[in-house]
Amino acid sequence: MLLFFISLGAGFAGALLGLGGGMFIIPAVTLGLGVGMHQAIGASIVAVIATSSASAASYVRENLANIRVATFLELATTSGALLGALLASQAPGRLLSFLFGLLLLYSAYGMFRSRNAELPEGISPHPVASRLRMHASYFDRSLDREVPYQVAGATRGFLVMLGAGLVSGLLGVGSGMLKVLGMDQAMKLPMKVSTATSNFMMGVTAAVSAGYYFTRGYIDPALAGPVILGVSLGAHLGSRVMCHLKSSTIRKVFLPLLLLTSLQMLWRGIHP
Amino acid sequence: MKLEEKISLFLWSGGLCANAVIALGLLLSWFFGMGYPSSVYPTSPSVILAGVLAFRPGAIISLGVVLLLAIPVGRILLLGWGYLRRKEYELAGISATVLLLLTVALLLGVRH
Repeated sequence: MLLFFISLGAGFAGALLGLGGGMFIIPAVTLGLGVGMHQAIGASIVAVIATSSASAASYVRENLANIRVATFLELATTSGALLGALLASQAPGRLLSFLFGLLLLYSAYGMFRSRNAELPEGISPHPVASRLRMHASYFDRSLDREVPYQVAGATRGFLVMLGAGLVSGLLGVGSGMLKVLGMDQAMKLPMKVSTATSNFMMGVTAAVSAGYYFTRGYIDPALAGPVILGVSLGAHLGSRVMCHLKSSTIRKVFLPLLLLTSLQMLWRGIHP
Repeated sequence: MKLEEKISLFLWSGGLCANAVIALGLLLSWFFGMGYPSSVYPTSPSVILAGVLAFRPGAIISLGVVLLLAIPVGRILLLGWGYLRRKEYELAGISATVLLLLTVALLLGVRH
């Protein structure tokens, strides 16, 4: 029952911020319930897929998740995740954590500067984005008007997603955060579109390693069952709330979490 | 129906299906236990199917988990097919490549 309510919160926050909720589930079940690391990652994978399915169902219907952008970027995240998983055993984990921490800190600075901007301005549309017809519009319920937007920096965004995939393959964390940052900072998508599209894509990135954890028996039904039910309900509620929030509000919730994760990664890089 | 509406409907009904099966399994396990010795549970399709037919709650929950894990894969298939029918060959090609990468990951037994 406790697990259900933790998961409810994780799903709610994950849907709101485009993070999937894995980063809340892992510490909760390892520290709170004494579950082993493999089982905890297994639970977090199913939590991410459940959050993604539940929240994306509303985000796609509301036109908040851009499925063309997602399709384009999924190529990068899956390749990155596969590559990262293959390299994981040889990778210098501490150095990577440190570099990832620096990258997040730098992005936090970028996001801090644009904290009050409701919608991106001065966009020069990228030719690849125009060719794949990624430019779109959505109805913003908090501004009460249709918001058209254009997609910039498709190449940079693609590279960030390759990095996000690699990070999730190598370090097993934080890929949702990089996805949101890549779309917000590199591709200049409105914040709400970035978090919604990140949620939409996340299920696929998680599916890359889901098979492994399932067949090895790291997805325990007694743990996964309540987690999935809680997260699905939480994500459903979170996606309802998100549609009515302002982009700047979402940024202000995202920013402290980003800062916390970057410090955590830097610490993991310095401390043995 | 627009492609977005189809995808939304698929995600919604897929999630609902998986959650309903899991809820049923959890409810049954409340009364009858998991149906397996502790920390043992089915991990292959044939064992899950046999367990479901034998009405073991643990297997029913696992079936729900498998349904959930299948959602992203089904979503790529549906989207790729949608692009193909709309003659958007570049995006259809990307979807096919992503599906191929997922299959490779599954066959290699990729972990985090």
